[in-house]
Amino acid sequence: MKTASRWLPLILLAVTVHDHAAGSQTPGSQPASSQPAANSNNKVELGEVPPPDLSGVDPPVQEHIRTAQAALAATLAQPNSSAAQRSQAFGDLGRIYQAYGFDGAALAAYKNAAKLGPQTFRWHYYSGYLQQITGDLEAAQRSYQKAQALRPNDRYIMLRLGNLEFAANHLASAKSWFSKSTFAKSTTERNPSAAALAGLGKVALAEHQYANALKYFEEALKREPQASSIHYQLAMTYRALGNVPKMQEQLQARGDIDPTIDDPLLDEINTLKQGKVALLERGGKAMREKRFADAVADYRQMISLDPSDVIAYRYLGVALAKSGKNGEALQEYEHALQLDPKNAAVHYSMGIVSIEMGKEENAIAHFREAIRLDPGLVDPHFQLANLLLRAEKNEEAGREYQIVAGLEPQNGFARLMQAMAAIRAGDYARGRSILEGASAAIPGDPDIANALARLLAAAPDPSVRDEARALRIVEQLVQNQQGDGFEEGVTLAMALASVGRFKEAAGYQQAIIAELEHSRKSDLARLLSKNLDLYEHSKPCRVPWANDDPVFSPVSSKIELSTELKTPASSR
Amino acid sequence: MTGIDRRDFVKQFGTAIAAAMSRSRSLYAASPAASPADQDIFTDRAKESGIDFVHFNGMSGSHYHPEVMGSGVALFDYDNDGDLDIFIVQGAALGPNQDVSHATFPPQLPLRGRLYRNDSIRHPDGSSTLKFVDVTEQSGIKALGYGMGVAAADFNNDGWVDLYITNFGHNQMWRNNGDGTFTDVTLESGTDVPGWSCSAAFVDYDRDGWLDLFVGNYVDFRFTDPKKCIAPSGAADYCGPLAFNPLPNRLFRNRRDGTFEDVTVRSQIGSASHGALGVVCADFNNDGWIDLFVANDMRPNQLWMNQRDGTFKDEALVAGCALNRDGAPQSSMGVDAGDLMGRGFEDLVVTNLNGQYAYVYANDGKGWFEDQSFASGVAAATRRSTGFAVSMLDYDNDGWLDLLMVNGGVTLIEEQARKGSPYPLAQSNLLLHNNGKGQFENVTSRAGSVFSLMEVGRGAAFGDIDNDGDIDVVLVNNSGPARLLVNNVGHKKPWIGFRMVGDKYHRDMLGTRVAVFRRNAPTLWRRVHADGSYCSSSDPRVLFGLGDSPEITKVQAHWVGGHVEEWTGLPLGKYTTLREGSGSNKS
Repeated sequence: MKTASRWLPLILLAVTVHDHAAGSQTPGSQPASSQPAANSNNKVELGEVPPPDLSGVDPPVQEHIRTAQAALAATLAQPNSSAAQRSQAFGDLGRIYQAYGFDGAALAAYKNAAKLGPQTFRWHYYSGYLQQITGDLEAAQRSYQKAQALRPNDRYIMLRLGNLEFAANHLASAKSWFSKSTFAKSTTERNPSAAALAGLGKVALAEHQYANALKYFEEALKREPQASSIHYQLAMTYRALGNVPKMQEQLQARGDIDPTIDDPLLDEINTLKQGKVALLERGGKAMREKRFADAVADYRQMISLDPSDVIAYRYLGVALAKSGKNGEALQEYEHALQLDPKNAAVHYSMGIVSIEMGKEENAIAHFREAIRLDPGLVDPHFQLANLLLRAEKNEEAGREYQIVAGLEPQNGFARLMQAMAAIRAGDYARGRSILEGASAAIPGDPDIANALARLLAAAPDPSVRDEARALRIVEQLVQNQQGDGFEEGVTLAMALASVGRFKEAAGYQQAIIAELEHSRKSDLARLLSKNLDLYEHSKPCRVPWANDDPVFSPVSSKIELSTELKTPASSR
Repeated sequence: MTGIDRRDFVKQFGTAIAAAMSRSRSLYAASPAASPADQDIFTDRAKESGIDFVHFNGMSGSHYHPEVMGSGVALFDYDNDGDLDIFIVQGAALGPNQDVSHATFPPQLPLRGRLYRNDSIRHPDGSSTLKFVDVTEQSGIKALGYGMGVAAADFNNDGWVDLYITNFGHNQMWRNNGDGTFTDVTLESGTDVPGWSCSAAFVDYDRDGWLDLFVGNYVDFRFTDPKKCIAPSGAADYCGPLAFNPLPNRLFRNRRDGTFEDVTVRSQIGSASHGALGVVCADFNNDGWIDLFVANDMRPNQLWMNQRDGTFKDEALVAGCALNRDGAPQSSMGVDAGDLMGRGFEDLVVTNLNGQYAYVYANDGKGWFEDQSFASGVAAATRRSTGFAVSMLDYDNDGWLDLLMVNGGVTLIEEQARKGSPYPLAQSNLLLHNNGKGQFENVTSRAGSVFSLMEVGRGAAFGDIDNDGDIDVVLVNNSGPARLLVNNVGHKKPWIGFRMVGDKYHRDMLGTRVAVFRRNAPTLWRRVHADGSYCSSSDPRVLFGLGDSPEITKVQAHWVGGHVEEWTGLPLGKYTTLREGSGSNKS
């Protein structure tokens, strides 16, 4: 096999074709009657198919490629092989190369396949696709046109041609292809796809025909509402029409899902993949679709291919944790740590699983280790701070929140919790100082403003209080309807009471309690009734947050650890 | 890739480099007018002039993302002798416990950012003998981190240009002492930024006469949290930006006492992180206040419109410059702003990855843009290039801004890998000529042999290095030699140049717009700026090529502070320093 692979590129400069089955169809091909079939005994000038550099390539992929190379070599070695057989062998090798990202080699193989089998649609089509994605638009156009001539009614080739011409700024030609594709296959009945309509819209927008653009984009969205990328085009159309509110509305709805182009030939390429990449993609898809058992199987298979793959162990751990198998997840993380003891991300993952298992001390240890290994990681500091606050280690928790705020200056929640840690430790002055700083740094944060107002209204230390200012802040919040209405209502009542407006305070407090009881939150309602009693007796509140307030028991949220195949630059 | 000798790498390019150098030498020896190489628009004169810098990227086979991203260069007059000196940013060893002995390409030692003093001699016939002297050691600049970019400006208004160096790691602020030396004032100035910064820019966003500092941060790459980034074949590959969390950019307000206040949060600049690679500061909506455009890699670009109260609002989506015309983000890297369309507004050009295309956004004067990438021909010309540095420069002084793009891949190029290249990311650079009708012609084939070299281009700074009245270029190749592209053609057309300095402080007034009004020809607008490009800092002087219409009726300056002044009778063919307040006020 190796010998055959080695001489393969060298012999492909000129091949005499003995086509015993001229005009025969390869699977998936559709010869057009107007085109001549490959002739017998033609001398076809073939190009070199340079074998890709397989160093570093996944072993199953190498094997897959070598098998395909050997198959081609064997076909070529048969003196009686037909042009169709040779074309198919070149094309098959091209598809394997394309599946694994060797686009240059794939293109060279397709070119030979197309020379030997000029009636075969797919080789021209695949060539055009590869030329298009590498930016060789002129060559892509030639290849697509050959393909289109063989299948004049196939809509996806028309759409490809439309998009290609649009990319080349040949607007009239693009419009023509998009228009043609709006007719159903083999009929004269108009049945446009969202992709075709969106294409027509893009052309209209580029031609400054805004009314037409609007019509096409809206129709496209009606046909495929999930094609959220069209909202951007619509927004730009409304902008050109001077309709700013509609533009804003469309920008809000904007997404990254393009209109569907059903492309069975490209789908086929994806099914050819083997090896680590295929498993990673499959595992990621299974995770997204919450088929955790399938993901576990895929990641286990990845590990069997490469037992030194630390990240595969980590992904397997995540999949197991999501399946509820926390113990097994921890074991896989242990494997990962045996391979890479300094992997902070694995320690972080173990901390999260430990929380899930109720082992908060273990979680604290893992977060501390993650921080020791990489003090710049934000999440372990944040999770550790939450756990420390729950454990009433307030000063230490405060320090961790402070680190988070330092690493992420825009993180208002970390600043708020840093203040809460100080308040819980009884240091109201420090709490106020932190909140004042946070409020100046992030003036629009309603949670910080609310906390500051509450502290100014109800701190037991009179030097910390500023009742009039507290009322101004919370009234502004209520007026702006920012933040949590319940929290603000409680603060408003405190602030009113702090300036002696007890009757109004009691009125607000009663209304909130009634609302809570109506919502069947009687526990919370009971907590608030203590303050109501104070206000009814014309006394201000001097406990801004009770010791059992949920704010002091932040729940460590389970982070969605990514098991996705991270986007390599090559696929950007 | 470990174990490959640097000589193997050099061999890849050796022939082309030798050819280029041979041409350079012949040009250098002969009179400029008589040289056959004179037909080349640019000639590389790095080596003969003393620029011996070779970038070290620290790669060791681990595919660490930072190794393919650096680095940049600054053109600035650090010794105030009237010519441009050069600072080039250097890489370092990468990875936990790594040292240079593990590197795929052994570095040129000592490994540090290098300062080259311009000691060129200008001859009476107008020609120059270019000469640069490495003064790094004397300067005291110890840029030993993993360098990415550099911004140069006089932040403390003492009349001497300072340097801010961005790193993968902690950044550094180097204060110019005015005696040829610099002092590291990073901590005392309050401008230390850890993480991964790329492009930075000095900008007087609050119009108080003192330069503030924007630092563009990229992504949270960590050795302790490696990502799984593999090619479709399963081979290890470089990660793209989406594999990492983007880092928030930072904005520092100048306190006018040598220190800065971090106003990232208060200004709203930190409210959205998209992984910044390029930044350019200009007044995009003509309200007299400087805005910021940030080029982001695979996430929407940002147009931070100055709200005139110390805060900014990102309006890129509404303005139509966040995404491509299909509504998708591209891999935006380098950026420049200028009056590309000749309408007096700040248009934008942004470089992107191959398979995508470079953006040309035409400004309507109110800060809304129309995508002219396709109609201008720029999309077609750039589709097969991965662009980093970019500049709007009028290379032939015909009065229209052209485009120069410095290119180099970020993922392995199959054909080069197959041929055994140890660093298969090489591409050639592009030169596009503006025909004055909104369209650009690819003139790369006439640009000079240096444009046929295949290298991994990254940062570039643009400026008149030989003071002959045209724009030259110094560019940095990742894991390759720096190049000094001398312009052979621009000075043959009439030109006029200005250095715009403040009234109280003798520093370049970055952000000032200058207009040259001509008889029977369009008015030319240029902006005083050092920012833009990629990770680099350019000549802040403004240069006007006058083409065939050299009759100037007046020169007008729109200063950052808001007032407008005019001058008449200024001399052609030289640079004149215009001090704020020295012209006649325009009502």
